[in-house]
Amino acid sequence: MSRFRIVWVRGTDQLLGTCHCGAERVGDDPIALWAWLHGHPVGHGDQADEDPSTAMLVPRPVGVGA
Amino acid sequence: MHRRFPLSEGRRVGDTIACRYHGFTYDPDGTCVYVPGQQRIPRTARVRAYPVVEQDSFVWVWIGDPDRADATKIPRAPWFQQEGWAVVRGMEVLNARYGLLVDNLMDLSHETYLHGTSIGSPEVAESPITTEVDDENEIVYVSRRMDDAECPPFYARATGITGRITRWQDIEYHPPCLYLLHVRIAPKGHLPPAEGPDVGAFHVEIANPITPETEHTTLDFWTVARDFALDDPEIAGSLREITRSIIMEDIVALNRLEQHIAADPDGAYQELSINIDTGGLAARRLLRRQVEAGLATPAVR
Repeated sequence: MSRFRIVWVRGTDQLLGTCHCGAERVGDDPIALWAWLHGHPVGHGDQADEDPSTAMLVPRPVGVGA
Repeated sequence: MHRRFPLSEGRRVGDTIACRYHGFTYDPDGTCVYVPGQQRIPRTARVRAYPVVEQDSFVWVWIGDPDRADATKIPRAPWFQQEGWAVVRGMEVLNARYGLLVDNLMDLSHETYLHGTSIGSPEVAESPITTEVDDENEIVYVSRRMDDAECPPFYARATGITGRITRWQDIEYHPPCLYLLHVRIAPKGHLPPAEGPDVGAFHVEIANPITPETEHTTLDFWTVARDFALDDPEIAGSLREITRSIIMEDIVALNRLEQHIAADPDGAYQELSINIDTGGLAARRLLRRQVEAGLATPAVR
């Protein structure tokens, strides 16, 4: 099944993309994340491919809404 | 073709359609079976026929190559013609390209701002979403789960819930035409059981069959089914009015947006997308793919 998922991680501004092959990537740009997912298998399963600047889930400051 | 009067303004006579202007009458295959005053029916008196399927209270028309029509690919939406559900419906004309309605429906965070007095509590825009694409079957799912939300006044009145609620909005979009929104309303903290019926929760199924009429107009055959207050005409009337007023708020906004875009189609601006747009972006991609494959019409040629 060719399913792709992007979860907006609760309490953060970041997105977690999961490919049907199990590869995951964190980002903050939905366009770039969809492009990576739909590019399967390019860059999938290669953790070094992740952008280190967006690879950490940073909690959103309390009291700041979307 | 006789004098170009639109056959859509004609009337049904049994299984035929008669032109309201001069009475030319056509059977379901598009063959002319009657012209006024003479026996001979000209060979060129003929209209194109389209494959049609009636399913789940909707009429599906295939306007492409008839050989490629496949009724098994029509998505199901059983609630609109099923026991245990009550339905209200209507049709509004949007003076905008269908793509703007798709963008609107795929990102419900706009409810907080555009529909703030009815269904748009603050939690809608603040709640994160999960988006999933079934690439093979061409379906986009967007799920917004609110654990602790204000209850919109209509739902409070219709369900009798007095406090805060657990509110789920699960979008299921089958591009290009069928947008479904599965809504679950329950007292705060009340989750469905692992098995069996979801007792204690209230469900609303909403369909927006998105029907392009022209490049810049779209028909929205909105349909709303509920599994509560089934025999309450007052609730049915309120739901019809509230839904219609919400859709009119969208229509006013999208008509304005269409005017703005049409006035400056090549405007020098760079569109930006943020987290709330994840579902809309997925929908646009599938629509683009369908247009390229000849299965959908472009939003604007």
